[in-house]
Amino acid sequence: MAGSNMIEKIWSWIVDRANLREIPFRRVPYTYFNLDHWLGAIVASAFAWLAITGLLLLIWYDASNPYNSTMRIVNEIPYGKLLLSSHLYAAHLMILSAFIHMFRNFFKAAYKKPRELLWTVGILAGVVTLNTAFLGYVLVGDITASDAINVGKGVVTGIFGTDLGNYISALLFGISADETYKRVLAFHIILAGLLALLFVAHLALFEAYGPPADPKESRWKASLSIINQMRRDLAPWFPTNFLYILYMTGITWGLLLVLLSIALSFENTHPLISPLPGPPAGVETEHPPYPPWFFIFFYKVADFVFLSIQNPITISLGPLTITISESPILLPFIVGVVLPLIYLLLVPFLDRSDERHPLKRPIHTAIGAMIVVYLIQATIWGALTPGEPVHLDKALAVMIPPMATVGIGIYLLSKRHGGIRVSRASIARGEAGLYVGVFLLIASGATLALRSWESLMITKELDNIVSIAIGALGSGAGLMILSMIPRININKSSPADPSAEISAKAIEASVKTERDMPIWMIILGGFYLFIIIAFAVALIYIDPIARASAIASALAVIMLALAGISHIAYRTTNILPYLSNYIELKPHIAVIILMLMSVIGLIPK
Amino acid sequence: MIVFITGNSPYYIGDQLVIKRRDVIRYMAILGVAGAIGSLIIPTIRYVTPPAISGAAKYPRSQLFFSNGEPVRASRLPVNTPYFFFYPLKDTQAMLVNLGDANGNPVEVKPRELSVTMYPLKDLSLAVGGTDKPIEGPPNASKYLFPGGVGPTRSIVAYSLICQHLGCIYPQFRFHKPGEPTSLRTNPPEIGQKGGVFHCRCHGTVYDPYRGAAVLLDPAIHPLPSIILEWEQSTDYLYATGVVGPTIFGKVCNLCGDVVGDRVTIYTAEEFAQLALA
Repeated sequence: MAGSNMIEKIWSWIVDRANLREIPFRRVPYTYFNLDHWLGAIVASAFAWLAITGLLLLIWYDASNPYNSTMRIVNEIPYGKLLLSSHLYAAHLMILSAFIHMFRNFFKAAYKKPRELLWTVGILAGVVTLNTAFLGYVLVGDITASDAINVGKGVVTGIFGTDLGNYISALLFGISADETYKRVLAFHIILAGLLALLFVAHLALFEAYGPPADPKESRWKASLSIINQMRRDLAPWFPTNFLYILYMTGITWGLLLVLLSIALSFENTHPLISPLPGPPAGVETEHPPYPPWFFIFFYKVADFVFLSIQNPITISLGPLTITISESPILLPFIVGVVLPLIYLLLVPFLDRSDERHPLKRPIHTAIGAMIVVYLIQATIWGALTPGEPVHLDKALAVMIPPMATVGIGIYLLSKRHGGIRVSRASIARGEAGLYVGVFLLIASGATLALRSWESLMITKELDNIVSIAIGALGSGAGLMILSMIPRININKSSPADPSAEISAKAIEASVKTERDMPIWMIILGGFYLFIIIAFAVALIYIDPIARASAIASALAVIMLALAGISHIAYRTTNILPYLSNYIELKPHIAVIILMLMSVIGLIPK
Repeated sequence: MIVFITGNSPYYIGDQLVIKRRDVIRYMAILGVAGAIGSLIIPTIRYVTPPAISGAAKYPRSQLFFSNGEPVRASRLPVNTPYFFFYPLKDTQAMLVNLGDANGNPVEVKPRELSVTMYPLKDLSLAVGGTDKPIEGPPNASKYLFPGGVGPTRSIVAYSLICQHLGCIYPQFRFHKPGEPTSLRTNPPEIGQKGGVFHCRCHGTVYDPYRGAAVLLDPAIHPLPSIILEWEQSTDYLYATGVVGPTIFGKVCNLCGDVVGDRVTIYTAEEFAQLALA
């Protein structure tokens, strides 16, 4: 086994020359290696998959013949179906995880000083992501794409009026038809490049102060949220963080490919989740034209007819006269997109207190919860009744119940967690107005709901019940968010640096016990390694055109095994004490369950 | 024997190599990463590789026409005047010329055996005093038969006008009639000075059109591919019917791509320049 000595030498040479032990990244305590702190890694891994597959797709995509070249990639190029559909699914996963990442940091107030810029750059990256995604699904050139181009032109002229709107639409989509896809492709790549720059800036700004310290350590104070880099329980960036990144990447790619292999093994999938392009423009379809799920919320808001400007409005401000031309979606756009976006961009500057606990900044928690709830509601509503005009009564029946739930809930929670009893006296002190207001909101919501119910009974059209159901669903979602708010349980004596209590002896002892690394880790690692090699070989023998779902399954298993092996390696880096067998095995159970799920894709059609 | 213990880094106790468990896992992780990345290599290569290009199965038989639509008549083709056309593909330029001597009399071009890879002859053009020495190449190089000139005087030939060295085309690569010196000096200079050659200004390759476009001066090591011409004696029309010799420079195969139809237009130098500008 002189060879292993040789590997050892080469490895230590690489570690030395790249100076891997002293990588100048922020170090975090070993208790921070969990999903809650690593949601951004999921977004980043999905983005990496998008970049790799996107650049490869550029080889075969032809903007002068978009639909046919896309179908050629799907049907004729080896692995083309996998690349194209995984590009789409990675975009879905990236957007979904970016939303989760954003709201987690919103509710944990990670945007507070000194991380305001980090937050703002993140929001901008999110906006660029959504626009890149729009241009990306247009590129396919199918019926959804041609609808999207028309809708895009309509939205632009609807928002900016005819003159400016036509100019912007010509800028985006060109003037002649054969220009359209070339421009869309160019802007898709330009925005993706911009996104890469924003991602680098986001990462650099993250490195400036590191993740906000856990509430226990920072007592929910923004001013105590920087992790002291002299703590004793910090894990070295290399290899611990590196291996954990590898684990998150493997899990993300594995999950993405498992879902893809399942989706590819079904014949007809709903256009919202279909991994493959639809029919070309001009072909009859059973489904109404759908935007992708992440734009459905706006699709529904655009149906709010009471917000459309029917007649030109002229505002006179002394000598200045502003005329807002007739526009069906200017107000929906402002209400549904611009205002929430401005709020999210500015929230670090609106909420400047030192408090990070959700109940110590109840207004922002409530606004955030409402944004989440309305996003979910409008998305589901738009998916169920696309394009159906919404009048004020229905909109209120949907919007008021969750608003009441969240409003009352946060008020009561902050009272309770603040240690204040809600008594008759407190009501008498002026809170009666609040209760009455909330009661009126509920009552009006219920009345409107009853009206819908009544009309349902008369017309027997199921559509009428949708608004009631969506309203109830929103209340439920609001309650779920409230239930996740932790108690304000600040122990004034809890140390900002828990590692101060860890003596050198304790660390030495933990390292010593960790040396008795269980043999199952080696067996499991060997199993993962075997799986990687076996599936890497099997991959060569699977027909890459006809059996794309099997390819996705095999690749998913490889990526999941990579995640598993990285997790074992991460658990054996020095600083981490060995926990119980159950806790150590938990991530592997998840990995193996996902592996078993991928078997579905291996079944031939 | 390897002993699994939980010690420090790998070391020997006597003859026994001692590896701690953590090291085993580290090797596994390195191999796992390498395997996962490695599994992507072959699929990526297969994805990127262009599929086998399915060109036409055989060469088209294309009649040659002037740009005004008149069919080309072999007996009326002016001597030593190059004509440009595209054959066998729409993007492979070729040249047709009725070869003559310095006085403008047609010269019969004999069929001969050529070697696909050959040593440069380092000789004058056959039209201006070259010796008719045998064409030699490496022993394992494949041979082909250059069909010689066609037409009433057996003097009309056509070659691919893409230099076999690095693919330079007209106007860098052009025909100089006998007596017309090349625009750049060749080495030795007299080969170019006397004309009657194809000369490439990019890197100085010289070919002899009177000997099947055999290489007179390197750096090229392959003769120019010859376009097979057919003269229909009854009508005096000319047809291009195939290509022999090495594969046309820059092509995977001579028929890989857009194949021309059964009518091919030949252009004068002026017309060809106009075409390039358009």
